[in-house]
Amino acid sequence: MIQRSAFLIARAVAALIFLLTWGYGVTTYSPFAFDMFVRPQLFPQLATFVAWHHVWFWVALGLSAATLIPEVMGPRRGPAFWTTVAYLMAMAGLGCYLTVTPYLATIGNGSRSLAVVPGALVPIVWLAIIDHLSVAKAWRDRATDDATGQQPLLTSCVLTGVLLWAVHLLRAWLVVGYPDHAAPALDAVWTFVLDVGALLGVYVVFSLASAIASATTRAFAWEYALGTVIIAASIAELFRRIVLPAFSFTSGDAGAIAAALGVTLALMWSGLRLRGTPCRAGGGFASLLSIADPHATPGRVLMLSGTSAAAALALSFVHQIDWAGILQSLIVLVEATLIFGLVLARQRGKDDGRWSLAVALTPPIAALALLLLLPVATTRLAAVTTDSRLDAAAVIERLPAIDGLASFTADRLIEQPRFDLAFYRELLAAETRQPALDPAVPSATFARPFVTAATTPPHVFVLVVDSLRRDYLSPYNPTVTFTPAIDAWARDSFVFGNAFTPYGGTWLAMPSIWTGSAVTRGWGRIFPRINALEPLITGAGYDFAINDFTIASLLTPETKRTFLNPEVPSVDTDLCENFDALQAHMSARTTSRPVFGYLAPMNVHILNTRVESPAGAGRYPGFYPPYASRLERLDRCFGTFVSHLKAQGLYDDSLIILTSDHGDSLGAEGRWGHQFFLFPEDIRIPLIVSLPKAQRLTVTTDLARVSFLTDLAPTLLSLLGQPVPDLGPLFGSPLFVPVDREPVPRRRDSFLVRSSYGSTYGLLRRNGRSLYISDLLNWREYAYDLRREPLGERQAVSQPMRRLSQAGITSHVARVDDLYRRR
Amino acid sequence: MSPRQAPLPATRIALALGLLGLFYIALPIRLPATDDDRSSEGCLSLADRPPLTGPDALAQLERCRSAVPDDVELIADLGSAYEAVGRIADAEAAYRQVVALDPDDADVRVRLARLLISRGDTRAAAEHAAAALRVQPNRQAVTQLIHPPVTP
Repeated sequence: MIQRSAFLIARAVAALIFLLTWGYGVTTYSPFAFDMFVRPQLFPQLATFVAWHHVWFWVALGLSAATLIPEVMGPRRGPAFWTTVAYLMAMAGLGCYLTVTPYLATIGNGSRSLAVVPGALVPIVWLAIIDHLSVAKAWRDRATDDATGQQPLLTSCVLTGVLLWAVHLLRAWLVVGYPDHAAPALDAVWTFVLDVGALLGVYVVFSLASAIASATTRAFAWEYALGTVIIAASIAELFRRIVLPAFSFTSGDAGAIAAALGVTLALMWSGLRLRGTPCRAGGGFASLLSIADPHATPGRVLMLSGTSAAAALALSFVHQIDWAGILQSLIVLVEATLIFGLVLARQRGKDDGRWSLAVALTPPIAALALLLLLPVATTRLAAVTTDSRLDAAAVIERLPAIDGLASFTADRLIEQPRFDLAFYRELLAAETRQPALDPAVPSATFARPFVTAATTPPHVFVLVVDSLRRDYLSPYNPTVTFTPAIDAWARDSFVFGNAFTPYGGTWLAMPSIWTGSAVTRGWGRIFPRINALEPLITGAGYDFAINDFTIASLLTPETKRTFLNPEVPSVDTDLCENFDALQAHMSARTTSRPVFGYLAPMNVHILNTRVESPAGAGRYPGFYPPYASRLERLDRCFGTFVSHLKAQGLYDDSLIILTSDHGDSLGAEGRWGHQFFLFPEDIRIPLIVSLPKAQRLTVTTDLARVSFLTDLAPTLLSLLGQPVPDLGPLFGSPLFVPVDREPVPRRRDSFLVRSSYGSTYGLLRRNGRSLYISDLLNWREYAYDLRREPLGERQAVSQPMRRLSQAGITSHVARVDDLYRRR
Repeated sequence: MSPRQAPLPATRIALALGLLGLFYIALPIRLPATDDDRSSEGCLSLADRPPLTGPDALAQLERCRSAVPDDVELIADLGSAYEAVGRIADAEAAYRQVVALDPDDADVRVRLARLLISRGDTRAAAEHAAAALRVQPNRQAVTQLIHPPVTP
């Protein structure tokens, strides 16, 4: 037992190291993921892993070699022996090469990273081949050769569906907390039908594989092999359709990468199962999928409850992570597979060899009928009772918080009414085409040479607090008591009450600030030529200080800058430390040049708030305590900085902008994070501007006009005396105009908002009062009336609204693609 | 149908394939549609277009007002259309409805203030102008409503 556990641990650690290497290769190969995660070193642990990769490689090799001792020391010199020797020699040679010339640390976004993607999987496949060869004799010596019987397969599928349904419902009730405005009985029916229906779909697929295996003379081996193929295809499809699109891979790349990973993981699993399970009667599926000895009841019960508990633990850990939706799907699918295997193994030996047409047909057709009828019946019920909680769309909305498997099944199977598939296909096709096309520099941009201004430029401080929600700031929400300094400062400032980020997520939001325009993925390749603020900073002779990990490395080398707190990793950037460093920089300098400070701290980013202690709920009633407590500290530092400027006599000559790149979902309606979301709390942002004293009475604005981060660059250009042309709806416009002019109206314009990372698009209309969201990955559409703070009011999606909004989104996306000539 | 020994695998393969095909054809499932009132579609998009003008504008705006009753831009347009044809009371009512729906619509407050001044209600006009100034601070067109420039 101990020897077996040691074997598995050694193999798991080795596989983890190889898979981490693969993951690094994949993220580096994707231009989007490289720019987003790798270049700014968002995860310092990953950078450490890369720096020490050659050492980790030896660890993996050592551990895997230890598991191969029986093959090397055994008396037989068969294929397993020679394959093992070849593995050890080849890997040792590779280890020596990597020690002399570390490879991983030297790769960037390009072809060198492509070599890592398949290369890192080779050792895993090689080990899997050795595992298969090692047990080849046992396979040949098998006495019985059965396929899985009809009855055990059906019973296992139904039992697994019911078990998962019960466990998930219990988890929702006891651990997570059942969602508000639920209809428990209806939700239970829906989740039951979806869970059992999904497993009956599995039953049909496995029945087919079992029937094919039965047609051969080696049914057990064929069933085992076909089961491995099903696992490989499932993993590949999951990654191709759900995981890799989140990293902006083209469909071709995603297909190849997903297929390689699916085959690798399935082979690895198959090899480990073959080593661990003596071949017995009852079919290949159970041998492949079961992780416990089916004849040891305590072990089975322990594994069943342990699997569910581990899944619950993993779900509670990931539910506040940006990629929660994807991770939730992965976790529940692994959970479902393992439980299916355990239940199937228990059914071995219960096959009486009989086969019934009724048993073959009735359950799947009944499940299909229920799946088809349930939405219709639910909609009727909602219409009769006029209870919106009973609406089918409302039930589907609640599923992620109740039952991950049911939610996954619903997302794959159920479309919203009158769904325009062409709209989705067109946008997704455009997305997958784009990475291959370099964006072109637009014919007109705000990036222009600086025109010498008549007056001395003011100090400029642009504070873009990552994930800062405006309803957590006193100027926007009078119930907030923990931001008094920002509140006091805002009383002398312009508080824009209708500001939005055009992009959910930092990756596209930050360049939109610097360019003053809509941006496209791949913007980094042309950034120096569309960057509007850099010519301003250099032209006006600013003393430039920055702390930011999205923009700073893309500025031209000639632009002199002071990078504040360079030793602090991206995720830990702290406004208080930034202010200290900035003040120290300003005190130490000998020049009288004005300062341009650009800070993008991560104080309230979900990566930090989710690890904060949730204590203090009593101090911040109605608010998320970890977020509020961090914001309270940030507010104190902000107040200190403003006091410092005033004490130094600099405040009246300073232009200060406080905003954020996007908001954040902090648990409302079960949502956390912002990477894929465009919900009201994700796209609404604070925007507060204090002007130099000399300008405060000479300009006007419209504080209620819908405004965007793209307005900041033209605003700064305008306030610093630069000519700002009207470049059209894809560009921002100055927030301030001379008092004798009318602020540029926007009430009749519609605006595209989109996720930086996912395939989610939105349309803002009616001066930011109306928001329509199309989530292309999950096939969901939402409509919100944004007049209510902070979450807006959910509206039913009507057909006219859908057509109008989808047409608007398509048209805006086409305009952006035309701007960058990416069609 | 009584259970029997397993039939030829070929039959079972065909049956399983048939079931798979059935699933493939039946799925994805579509939720029943709620409404599809095309008549309101043109009205919804009015908010995204320049204000309607011409002889039919008033009739179309009035028709759409019932289709999308809380559309601020549409009601503001209706107020302007009423003003253009001299229906001042209707225009004032429309503007008042706009500021009730969207108190931060400074432009409509200015229009309403001008209308109120024209009929002598300077006090109410000043209130709307002050409200407009809170949204559009320093704007000359608004300050002049409260303190008209002295002409020599």
